[in-house]
Amino acid sequence: MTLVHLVIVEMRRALHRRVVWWMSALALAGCVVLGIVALATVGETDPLVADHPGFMRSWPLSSDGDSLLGVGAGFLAIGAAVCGASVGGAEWKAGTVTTLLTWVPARGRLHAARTIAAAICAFVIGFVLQVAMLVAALPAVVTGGSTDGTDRDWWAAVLLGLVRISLVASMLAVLALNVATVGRNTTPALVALAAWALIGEGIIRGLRPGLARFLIGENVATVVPWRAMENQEFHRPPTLALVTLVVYLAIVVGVATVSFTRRDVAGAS
Amino acid sequence: MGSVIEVSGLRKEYRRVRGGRTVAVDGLDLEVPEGGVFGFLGPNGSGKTTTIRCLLGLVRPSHGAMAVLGRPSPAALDDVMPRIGSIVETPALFPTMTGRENLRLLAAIDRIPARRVDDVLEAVGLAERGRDKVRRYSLGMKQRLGLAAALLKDPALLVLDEPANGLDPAGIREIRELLRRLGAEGRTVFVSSHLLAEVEQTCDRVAIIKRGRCILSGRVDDVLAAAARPVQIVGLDALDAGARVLRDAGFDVDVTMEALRVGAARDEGARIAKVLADNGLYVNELRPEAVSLEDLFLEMTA
Repeated sequence: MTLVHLVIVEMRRALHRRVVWWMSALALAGCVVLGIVALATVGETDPLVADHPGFMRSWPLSSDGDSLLGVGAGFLAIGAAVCGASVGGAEWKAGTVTTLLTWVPARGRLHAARTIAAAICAFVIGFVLQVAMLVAALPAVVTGGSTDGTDRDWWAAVLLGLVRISLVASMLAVLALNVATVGRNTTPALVALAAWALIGEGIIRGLRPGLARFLIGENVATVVPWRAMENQEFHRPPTLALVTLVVYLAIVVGVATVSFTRRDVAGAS
Repeated sequence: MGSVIEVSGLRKEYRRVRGGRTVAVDGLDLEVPEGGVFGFLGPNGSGKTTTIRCLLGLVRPSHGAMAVLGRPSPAALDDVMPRIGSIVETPALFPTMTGRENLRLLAAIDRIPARRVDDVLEAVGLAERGRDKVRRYSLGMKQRLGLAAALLKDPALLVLDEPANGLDPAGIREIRELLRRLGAEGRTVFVSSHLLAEVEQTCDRVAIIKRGRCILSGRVDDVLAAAARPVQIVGLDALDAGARVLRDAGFDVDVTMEALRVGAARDEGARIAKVLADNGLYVNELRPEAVSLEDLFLEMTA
């Protein structure tokens, strides 16, 4: 059984999870609502207000996060983390990991396949949902918005923005899956991730601002718009921010792989 | 005839949270020959499921060596797993998917054709419920689905932990017949169970473990014959009179509700009948007392 075949099987398993479909359906519903609101309000909006979704020049990512893609990125990140943790944790909760291991005893390969499958699924779903969001805003553009400024650079900025946000969503899904694999449960993994992002990083940011350049939040906020983060304490180029995130992810995946391959599987939790 | 499972000196210790260790399996030796149905018996907590988990690579042994289908376990499990079907405790499958979808996902792992899914659903009597979500299944139906999953690979070795759990009497009979058929086809079925009457009817061989050690192993007939006591059951109308006559003749006799239990070897049956007949008492039943697997199990594990 090759790794590629196992990845395909794991993608099928991941896409069979109800939470993935519910989150995707919720995101699509959000896109529809955004489209309707944009359509209903585009005529009332001052054409000079660039961040209205009816004005296409507001779509690419901006450093202040006010762009259409920037707004969607936050929701996508949360959805990706929830789905990733569920794919990792629910197998333990339901005990299906026991069934799976009696089919694929090579645990290291199985974990690698699940991680790759989660990354691919999160990237593709994230990309498709963002495209759906942009498509949902098109009626507002056609009826009362504007395509001003949609030159080749605009298209490139939008496409690269889609790719970077999908990449970050993919990384968060992988992070959540691996944390859930170590904890063998979904909810504690999500609580741990939220606690770290909201409380842990907040404390470090407040007490030691100089260390903020190492935080996940700062690095994600640098990678997504692909602009260096500048402040009094530090200068963070986007390439270094991306490398930092990849290193963090590699450490978590490594710990989860060791945990998954070495610990006994004693039954459903 | 080779061995499909060989276990030598298997030991599994679990660390307790508050210090100390629990020994689940303590130097277990076991050999399961190829073909037929092998019953793996033991009281609760005797180490049956831990042994099965060790064999399937789910739990790492503390000491000892194991081989499954001639290959060391867990090192070479990847090679032999496509020929092993298993159920460990309650079969766990995705509750929000249908039985058929669950089996198709598993079949995809080993590139098993989709038509095989229908075959195994038919074999376990779930063909008409295959499109229902697993969360709507009863425990017995989940057990059947687990068995269907184990059969998907067309395995040479089936390792089944309590496969009759949750089944109604008709389901138990169906599973018994299915296991016998699988054993007769030349496959090896290694089954742990608490249903000793079932094991006695289904299995060719048994092993009994107690506190993580094998205390008895062999063919069911041989094991029961070896355990048989020199007691003859004598049925007659006048039990008290018969008991008196036999005691006078030097036999050790117990009177039960329906018959006399006479302490005597099988070849003394003719003498018992003659002593009674000489005193005008005629036997209507005379047979050696049978020992059931349940009697033997309770005696050995008490």
